Amino acid sequence: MNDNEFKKYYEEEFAKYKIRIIFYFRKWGFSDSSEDMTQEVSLRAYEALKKTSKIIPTNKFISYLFDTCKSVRVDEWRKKSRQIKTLSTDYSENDVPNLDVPTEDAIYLNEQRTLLYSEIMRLNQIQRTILILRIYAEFSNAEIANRLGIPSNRVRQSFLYATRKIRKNLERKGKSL
Amino acid sequence: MTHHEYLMLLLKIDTGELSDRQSIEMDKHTNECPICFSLKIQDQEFMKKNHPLIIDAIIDILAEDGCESLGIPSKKEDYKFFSDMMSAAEDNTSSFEKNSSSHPVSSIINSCISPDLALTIKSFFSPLSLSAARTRSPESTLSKSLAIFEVNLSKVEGAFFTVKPQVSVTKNIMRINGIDKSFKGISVINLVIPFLKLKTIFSLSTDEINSENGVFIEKQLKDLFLTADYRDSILTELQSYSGYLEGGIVEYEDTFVAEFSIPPGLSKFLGSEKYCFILLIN
Repeated sequence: MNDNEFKKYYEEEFAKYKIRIIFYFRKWGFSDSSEDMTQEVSLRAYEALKKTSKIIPTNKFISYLFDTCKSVRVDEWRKKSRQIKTLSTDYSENDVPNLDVPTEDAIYLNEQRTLLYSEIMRLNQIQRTILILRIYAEFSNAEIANRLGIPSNRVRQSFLYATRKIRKNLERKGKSL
Repeated sequence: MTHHEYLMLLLKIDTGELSDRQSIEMDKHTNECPICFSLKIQDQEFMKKNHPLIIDAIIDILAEDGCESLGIPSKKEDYKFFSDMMSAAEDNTSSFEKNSSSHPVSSIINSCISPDLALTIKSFFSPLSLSAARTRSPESTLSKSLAIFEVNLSKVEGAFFTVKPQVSVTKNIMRINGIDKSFKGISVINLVIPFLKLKTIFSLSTDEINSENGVFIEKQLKDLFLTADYRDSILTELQSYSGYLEGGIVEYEDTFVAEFSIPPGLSKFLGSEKYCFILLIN
């Protein structure tokens, strides 16, 4: 298949799923940006698939679209959370690492993120959930206690313990971030 | 409690052996102990400094594992939802369309994802006047259409639907109005909506609805909807229940598309499986 033929084939294939992808993003809460995100998926998937220049089996096409959607969704998630933080916190520029950075710094930050990821994953299920609810969802201890059905003292202690554990483990590895 | 005793109890958090009384004592200790205070400050500094990175790491975790407490599905669950939804796009003659092909409204509503689900459009009509539809003036308070669905909730929980009129907005409204007239000939509308508490407005129960009074009920609803007092109360009622249906109406390439999903566990919450519900379409 030459480039033009593949482009035509891809456009026809993608058109079948386009509206459903928009809904998928809307379901994830990206009401305002769902169409832009779908466009991004279309471009990213095309860029990656055009190398093959051949007809892709439906299940593979869907699977590929899912991976691309997930990656676009995670990017948007990050963008959104950063915008919210910028609006709602009073960090000074020195406090917060700039995440929109040149490639080499981005690689470094990516490594740091991976480290944090593995430390958070080492927490037990309940500690991890408490950490997510406190930091990501910004719930109070009382709200978390209510949601998880445990006393708020335990939530407070578990959160303290979880953050300390992450910090200490990183320090032990010589990565104080 | 000494700091050493506190550290011993801290380890119990990992094993989940901490009693309520112990966690209260620990709380008390952390408020009084200078070592804990200093560590707490260090922890807070660490969290503050790395907040964006921690958020990013959490997003990675959420994208893989989800979070039940936040209603975020895992990657596996999300993929199932995604592939079901996309696979339905492959089947242009879904069972929904086959089932509804003899229904007069099938000409204006042509799409419903999840072909195996028990969703039946029972009626679709608009109380709009043509002039209001054409001008879509701000003062037009009748800019709503209704789609009425009969649903077996236990079969559709967690499902995602779209209902997409075939034609453009203006044409669609005109066509709906065109069909609106012929609706008088449709004899079966199972319309009583405990889900929306409209039952009280009609003073009828589900058992009382049959093919003979279906037309009457439809007319009643239209009349009520066209009467300002009732229309407002119905709209308020519908809007207050919209939380049960996650989704809404979106405008997509000149066409209004209703998209919604039905939260898992809804039938348990509502205490029954069979419901009709109304979908408002702008």
